[in-house]
Amino acid sequence: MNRVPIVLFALLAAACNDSRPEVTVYVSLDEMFSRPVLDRFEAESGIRVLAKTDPEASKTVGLVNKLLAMKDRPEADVYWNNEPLRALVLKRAGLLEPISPEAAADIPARFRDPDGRWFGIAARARVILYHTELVKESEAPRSLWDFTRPEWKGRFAIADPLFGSTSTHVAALFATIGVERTRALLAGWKENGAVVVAGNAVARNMVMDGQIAACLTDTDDANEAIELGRPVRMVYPDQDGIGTLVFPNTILLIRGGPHPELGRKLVEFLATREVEAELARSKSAQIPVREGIPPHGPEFELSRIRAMEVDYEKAAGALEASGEFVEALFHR
Amino acid sequence: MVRNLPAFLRIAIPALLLTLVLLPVARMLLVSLGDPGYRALLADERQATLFVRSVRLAALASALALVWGWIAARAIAGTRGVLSAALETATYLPLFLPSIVVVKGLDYFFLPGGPARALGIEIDLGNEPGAAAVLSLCYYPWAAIALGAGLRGLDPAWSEVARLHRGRWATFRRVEGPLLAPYAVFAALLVFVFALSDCAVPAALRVNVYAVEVVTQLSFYYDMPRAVACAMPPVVLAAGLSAAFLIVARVHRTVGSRPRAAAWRGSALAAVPAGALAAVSGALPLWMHVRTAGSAGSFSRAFQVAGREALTSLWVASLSTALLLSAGAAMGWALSRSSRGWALAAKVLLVSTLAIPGAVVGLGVVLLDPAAVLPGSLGRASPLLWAIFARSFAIPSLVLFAAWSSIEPRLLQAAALAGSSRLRAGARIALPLLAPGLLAAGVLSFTAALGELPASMLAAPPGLMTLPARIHSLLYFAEDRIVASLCLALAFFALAALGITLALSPVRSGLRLDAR
Repeated sequence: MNRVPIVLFALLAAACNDSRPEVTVYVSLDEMFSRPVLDRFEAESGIRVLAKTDPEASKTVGLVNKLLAMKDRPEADVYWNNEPLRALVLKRAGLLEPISPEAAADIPARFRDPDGRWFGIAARARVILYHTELVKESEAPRSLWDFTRPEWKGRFAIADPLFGSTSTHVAALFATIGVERTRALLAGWKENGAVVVAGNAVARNMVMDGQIAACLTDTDDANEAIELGRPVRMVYPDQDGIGTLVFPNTILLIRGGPHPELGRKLVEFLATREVEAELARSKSAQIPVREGIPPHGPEFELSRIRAMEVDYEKAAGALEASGEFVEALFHR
Repeated sequence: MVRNLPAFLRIAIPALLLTLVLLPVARMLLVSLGDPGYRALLADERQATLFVRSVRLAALASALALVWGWIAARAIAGTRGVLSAALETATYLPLFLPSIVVVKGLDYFFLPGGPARALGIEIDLGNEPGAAAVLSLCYYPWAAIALGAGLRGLDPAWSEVARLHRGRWATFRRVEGPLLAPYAVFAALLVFVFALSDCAVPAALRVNVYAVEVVTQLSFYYDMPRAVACAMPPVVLAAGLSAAFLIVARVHRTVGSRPRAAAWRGSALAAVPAGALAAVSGALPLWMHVRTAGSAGSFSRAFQVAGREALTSLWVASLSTALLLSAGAAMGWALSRSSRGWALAAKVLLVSTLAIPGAVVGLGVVLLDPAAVLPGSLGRASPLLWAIFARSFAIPSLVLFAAWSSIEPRLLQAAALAGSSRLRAGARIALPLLAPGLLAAGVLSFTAALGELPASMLAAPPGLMTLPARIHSLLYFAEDRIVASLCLALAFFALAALGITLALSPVRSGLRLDAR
């Protein structure tokens, strides 16, 4: 019994004692993929990384809302977002410092903020994933509008369109094809029995397990199912039409963060080609936005995908309206 | 002043500790009351739906837990020796398993492709009755403890005499039932508030109730007024029910009463359903996690994914337990020696804290920002420690209140008359008598701290994530094998604490969760 206080004291001392410099980063990219990158930065720089991630079911929205709520005393130095629209929301709120790391110079202009407040790396695409034993290849969905057809009634799943990349997708459609056409598409999905689940990974799991025939998800989730050897196939929708939404991760430096100089070092690290290559090699199969970085496989090469032409500023402006519409349609 | 110090402490200690526990909620309430739309939110139609669903779920879980608890308590009381000890251990096992471990284990059992379907059992847990059933299995040991205390307090001679003139049912209705009623109502109340605030089970089964809605509002939208509007009704309900019960049933006089000399006689056949319940609520989830994990390789991968969080959970739970035990002992002492009115008010507040959604506590602590005042890494971890403390404080306090109440004051008076100082009397007399209660409170506090989810998700600073929060974040994303391996790791930590406690406890008394 006498040893108990000593052990507790040792634990307490250990908890108190870490004198390394530290940088705080909010991360919306799934932790399984972001952690190795941040661990490497920690090992190479000697700067301790304190990372906060958000759960699958509230992807991106939760952390962005927290940044907005705590804008007077931000906790984070850097925000590693997994899409560009909410980066623009934060930019409009005046929360971002300008950044122009040298390593980001070769990132194409369409994946960089013209005012230098964010830059994009390692993209994902919105894809259709279907179960090959439940769906013949000739009947496979190839367009978002295929899910409004009678043969797909109740046979497809989507992640909650209020959060994550699905909300980004909806806002991008609002901006690209117009409000009315997007509303008609979403209403068509609802009427056709779309199964709304908590996240892209849930939708992917349902297809993997054969519980549902097809789903809308992201390339990283789809690739994981393919690499597990499940009977699934991935399709880039609307390659003959409006194109597929391709959206990068975005790196942002938060204004007023507790460690701005260390935050800049992390930003410079994340801008390097090595980081993008690492993300491309990983199971998340992120799509390199820069030339010369080998993709995970030929199907993840940017030049082979007909990407939707999105005005990010317009799409960011449509976030609120699209969110209200989605909430009224799917949550009430 | 020195002479009045004990009297002063009996009021000051509960006041200070309850302030510490309720301050985060008060902070959230202040933020919300300042919002012009707050009152409108309380009257929102969705609030009414949420209220009805939450209360219905908690009530159903409570009713089921009462039945399971009665089955278990009768079986434990009616058996002897090794069988009784085994039943008692198996019944109390779910107390030491975080609810996320139990719900995921049962989920794996009943999922399509799981063993249940192979046996022809098609049950979908992802609905209100399913969630209520799982909640009842998680919390029925509390009902068993309360009802067991009631059974031990009954004199079997009364029942035997009554049965000479009336049948069994009439005897139960007129003799045993009224005497057991306070214990049954207390058991139902306890399970009700636990079920009302549990987030892990309804979140895992996708049933939207208050606790889940509060997490949604806070972690998704950061909408504090709406979150507090969701949090206040269950807290007020719990406070009202606790007050009504404690005043009407006067249970504070019965808890801590000494057991009768003669034992309750029951049928050994009662052990069968009790054993089955214990197996479903404890052994089955663990077995399903072992089965789903599949191999040692899964554990290795799981620790690569969440090893850091496992270590964080261990040291956070250990430190929290030390804080909870110290504060719980002080609170228990103060309440056991306080005036009836003050003790009653404090106990109502204590039970009510069990109903406060963890997410409200978590964010309230973040808003209070203790890290700005305390230095270093400990300061950084202080929001997490405070949130876990606030969420779990009621458990060790109530257990140690029962322990302190069972100490005969005349023993300490006799020691004082014999010339012993207060400190010496405390160390030589009170502490050994309190030891079983301290061990019970310690292991329950450790388990509560280890398994805490919603407050940890919100209060944990960057770089500090607990294992339950990590499991929750992996629920949809990671392979089942990894989730199952991590659930097993969590269960192992909790059961290891139980094992250490049993090893430390005096051989004769063993671990008595009723702290006598």
